[in-house]
Amino acid sequence: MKNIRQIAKLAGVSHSTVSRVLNGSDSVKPQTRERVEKVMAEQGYKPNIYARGMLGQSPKTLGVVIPNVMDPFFSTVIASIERVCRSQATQLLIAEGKTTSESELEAINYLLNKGCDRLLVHVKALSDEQLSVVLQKSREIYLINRTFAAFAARCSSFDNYSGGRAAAKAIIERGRSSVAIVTDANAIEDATDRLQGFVDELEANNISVSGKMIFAASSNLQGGTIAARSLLTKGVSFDAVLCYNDMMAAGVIQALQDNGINVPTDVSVVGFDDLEIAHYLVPRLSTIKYPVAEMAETMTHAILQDLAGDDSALASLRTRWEPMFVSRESH
Amino acid sequence: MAKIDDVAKLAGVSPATVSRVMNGTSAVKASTREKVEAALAQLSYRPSHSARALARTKKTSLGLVVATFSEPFFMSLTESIVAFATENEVNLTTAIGGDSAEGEAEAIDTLLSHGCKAIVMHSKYLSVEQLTDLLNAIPSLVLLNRLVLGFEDRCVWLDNRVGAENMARRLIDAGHRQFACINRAEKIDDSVDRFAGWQRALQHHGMALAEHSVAEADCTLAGGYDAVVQLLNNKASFTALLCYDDSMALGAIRALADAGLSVPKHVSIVGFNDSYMARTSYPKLTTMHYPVEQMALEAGRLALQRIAAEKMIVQHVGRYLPVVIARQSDRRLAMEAVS
Repeated sequence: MKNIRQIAKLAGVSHSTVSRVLNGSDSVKPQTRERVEKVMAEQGYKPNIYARGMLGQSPKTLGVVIPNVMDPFFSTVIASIERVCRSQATQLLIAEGKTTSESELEAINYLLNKGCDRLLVHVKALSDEQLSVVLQKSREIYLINRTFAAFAARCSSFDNYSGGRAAAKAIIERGRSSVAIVTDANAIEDATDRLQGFVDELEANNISVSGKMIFAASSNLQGGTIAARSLLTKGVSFDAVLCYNDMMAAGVIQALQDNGINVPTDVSVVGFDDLEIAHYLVPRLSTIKYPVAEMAETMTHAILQDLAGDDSALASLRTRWEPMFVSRESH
Repeated sequence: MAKIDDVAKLAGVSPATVSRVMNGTSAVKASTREKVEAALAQLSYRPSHSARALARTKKTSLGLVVATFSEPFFMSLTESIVAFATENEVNLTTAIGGDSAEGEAEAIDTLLSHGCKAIVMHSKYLSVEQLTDLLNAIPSLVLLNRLVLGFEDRCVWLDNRVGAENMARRLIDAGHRQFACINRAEKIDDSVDRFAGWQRALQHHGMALAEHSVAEADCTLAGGYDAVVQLLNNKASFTALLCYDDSMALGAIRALADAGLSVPKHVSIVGFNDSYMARTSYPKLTTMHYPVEQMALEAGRLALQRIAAEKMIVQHVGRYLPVVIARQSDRRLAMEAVS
């Protein structure tokens, strides 16, 4: 298996020189370039990813911004993007946007400086105004899970509000009427949309939710547990808990079961996202399917095809995705 | 071919100002911005990515190779290295090795082309010979999770065999005598070593894992589920189930539940890694904690040390042992006769 270091050795140059030849950099002396290319030809060196580099072009790179690599929701996004990139011999660079507009901008600029040909970003802290500046300056940035009227063709988003309504509808159909809600303490639009969906559907069915029955915590397993414990210490009766996402729902279920409350017999619990783990929990989690894997795959595919010169790829991109209730065992 | 300095000269500004205009991060006077943009257009300036990466930043570039970003273990590892890079003010570039030796080699090439001076690699597929070549060719390469003899000072690795042995011994000491295991089907060091560790602990007590008590599958939730179905179809009889990792263990708990078996009442189950899966399951998993953070820190330091002008003091541990985290998925058996 030929690699850069073997080529370097045979050509009598450093591996960074070989890299520079592959990347079409002009800081390589013509004689050196010729020598390296001759060795590559003799050795039949055909690097997949750098094939285009030999024609003087850089290898294609997709940059991705997600808030946080430790969140299972985003690892689903990354897995999809990875698959498509691998099949298209495209490098993937990832930067964490974290939770502030400064860090999101830093992540975007970092990837642009690294020479990414296209960016696919999930950013929630940057305001519409700030994002507008970024999108205007760089035509290569696409948004996932965010909608932006002026740049609609470069976005794909999900109807969180309808998802919230569908989740509430499911527990209403189960005959539940004393509902608690566990939401994300970080009030990004996903959280506020889902919450509004829950509340609107409940109120349309004459179930009012007082502010005292809404618990905000970190959008992870521990946050769910903490929120459920706050609910339990209040001593009020409840027969359903609607959760911002699956990990919080898992935490809620743990806390309830630890306290002798059976899910779903005593209390219905509904999550949101339909992470892979939802199907394997005990009880299996009823949830709202958020087809983020498909969204990421579709977008990445279209972006890479556009990069390869297919002008129609992005025109037919699906930009709006709808939720679906997945009925399992926890409600 | 124009360089930043040429653009700066033409616009009558500093190269730093040209950079700021291109990055858009800081405020630049409108008139200045116009001058720079005109110069950029006039010179048809096109930044070359590796030249910028190599020349522009004064920060060191650290590279990381992981198999994927989408598994809990690698998520933890990446997060630890990201924290290390931030704290030590080095740039970090991560490349994915995928599921082949070729992919891992390509990932290293990618990092080298991005100007990474030091590299930390988690490799599963490259052979010992291939790794030896790489270690010789790249002085600043450090391996995480492999030990290559002769390069002990550049390896940080987990003793999977002893870890697995300790886990099995915990269950033996708790009174279990009927064991089964679900292992990762792929033959990599981790799966071979963990199996060897389990066998060693059992053999020490005059037991062994019979063929029908061993099931192999992908190391995923679905794989853990399928492996338990295999065991039950084999009519394997067990009170203790050893699992390759936490994801498989969680899938296993689900499969046992579907078969009417409760954990830990009917079956004690243990995982490996202590990923977020271990805390998400119910009951929470007893597992082996893989000290990813400490190992990542040492690997990062070793890599930086090899390119630092002044020698960093690095405490070289090399071989790490996982530790048991006891939770609620296993229990003591009363020492009565078990049918």
